[in-house]
Amino acid sequence: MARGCQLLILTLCLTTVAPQVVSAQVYIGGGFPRGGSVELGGGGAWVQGFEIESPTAQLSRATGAQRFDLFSTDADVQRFTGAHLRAGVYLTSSISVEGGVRYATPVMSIRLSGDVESAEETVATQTLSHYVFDGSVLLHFNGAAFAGGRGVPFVSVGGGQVRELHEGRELVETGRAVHGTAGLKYWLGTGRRRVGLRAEIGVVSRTGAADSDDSGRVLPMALGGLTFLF
Amino acid sequence: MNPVKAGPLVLVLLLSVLVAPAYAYLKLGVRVGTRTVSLQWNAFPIRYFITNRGAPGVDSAQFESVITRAFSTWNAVETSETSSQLVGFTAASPTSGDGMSVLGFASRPDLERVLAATNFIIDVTTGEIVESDIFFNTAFSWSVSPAGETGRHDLESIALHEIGHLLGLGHSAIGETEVVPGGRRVLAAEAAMFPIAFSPGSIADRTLKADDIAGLTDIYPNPATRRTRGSISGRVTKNGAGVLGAHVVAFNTRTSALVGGFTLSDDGSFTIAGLEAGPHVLRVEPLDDAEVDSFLDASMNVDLNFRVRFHDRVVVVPQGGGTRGVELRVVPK
Repeated sequence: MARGCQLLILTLCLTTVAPQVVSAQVYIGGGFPRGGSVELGGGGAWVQGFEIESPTAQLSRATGAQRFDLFSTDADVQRFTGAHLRAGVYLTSSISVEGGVRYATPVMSIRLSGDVESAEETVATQTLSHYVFDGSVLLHFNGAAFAGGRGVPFVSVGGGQVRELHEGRELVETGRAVHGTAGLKYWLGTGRRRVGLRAEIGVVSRTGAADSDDSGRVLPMALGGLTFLF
Repeated sequence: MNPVKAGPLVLVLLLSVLVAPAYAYLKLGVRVGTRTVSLQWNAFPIRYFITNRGAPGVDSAQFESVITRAFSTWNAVETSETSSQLVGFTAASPTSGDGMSVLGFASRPDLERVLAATNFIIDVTTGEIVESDIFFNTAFSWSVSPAGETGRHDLESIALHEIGHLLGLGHSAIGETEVVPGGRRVLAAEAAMFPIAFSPGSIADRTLKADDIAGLTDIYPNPATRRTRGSISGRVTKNGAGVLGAHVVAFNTRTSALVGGFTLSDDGSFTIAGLEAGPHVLRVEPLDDAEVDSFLDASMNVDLNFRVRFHDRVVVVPQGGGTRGVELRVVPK
């Protein structure tokens, strides 16, 4: 029993010590990105859908007080997926700044119902072209790196402009977007130039653009893709 | 039964005043050769006279005040450019042909359903309105009370409607009515230019609605409006053929503005102009909430046999441009 305990303690010591040794070896060979390192990446994006203002079409009555409903609307922008591209530069080994663009084609749908003359309920749709041009600051937690420094958690905050083109691409509307995400980069190599996987989840707060509600709304968001370090 | 806020009733020179195709709801027009041109004033301010005769419950000073307010309401539309000027009182009657645009009361007991009417003299080669007169029928009881008076028609509401005609607008069909013995009763409307008046006592029609503003803006746009407002055009079809006389309503889901237009040719084509930019939904209905000849020439073979329906696409109006090629397919009742 006492011998068993000794073996267990020895094993725990080894497992505690061993990663430190490996980590030290990786850092010497390439380690974390250094100030001035450039990172390029891209991949997919997902953003939760949201309801938008849904007024009722109304007429005036003789009294002027109570309104007469002609039909009702129920509008939303459905959840959408798209693509993103990013370019960044490390200021230090743990802080980088980057700029990027996201693109998607969300569908705006408006359910038309409750018609006073019994028009059949209809869902009218249009496809938007959605762009976000933004900038971010990333803080990498190198101290929490794992798998020999390959896996590095990070958080990102930033903001930018939303541009949405309605169908036909003749009407563009702009708004603002601020995001905050937490994510993980997993480098597939250890050299100074390397490729990795990047995933992050968070929220985006958007105001304006095709959404006429000026109070803004906070939406879940997820991004994932490949990233390259130079 | 509600009396009608009459349309352009009497026309001089034996002209038929037509509706101008391809514009927001209805504009008055005249045939010049093979085309129809809109009726409109080319010179501003519009100079008008007021008769020096009142009517029971309305003296000439009150009449002047009401007419001035009604003109001001139209002239205040920010997206258009119109102006008017009261020249003074006159003993002339509000009938055409004397070279003056005159507004006043007239006794027309023969027109038992007509509250008021607007007449024109026009240049038949250009569509320019040279003179326009409006009479208010003393066969009805009138009110100038700020809050309205039970049993009396609000003079300002009816004046606003008739001055809309004077400016070149036809009737709007944005309203819902029900058939009652002897005529129709208005349930609700969203245009001062709806042809049937609200019940006596109502003052709901003293303000212009989006449809009225779009129509005026279409005829007299200011330079900024040309860059900011847009249009929707397309066709209404049934079994592949055009539908004549369909009423198409564009609803702006941002502003809640309702603006209507009509298909005015056999191919079912329509244009709704003077629209604010943004997404719209379209609803098409037969012209069955008033007599067809309140809107269109009685000789037109208007199709009323189709169901109300919505368009299944959101139609986006660009700034200073137009969305074309919209096809609204309807089915027979």
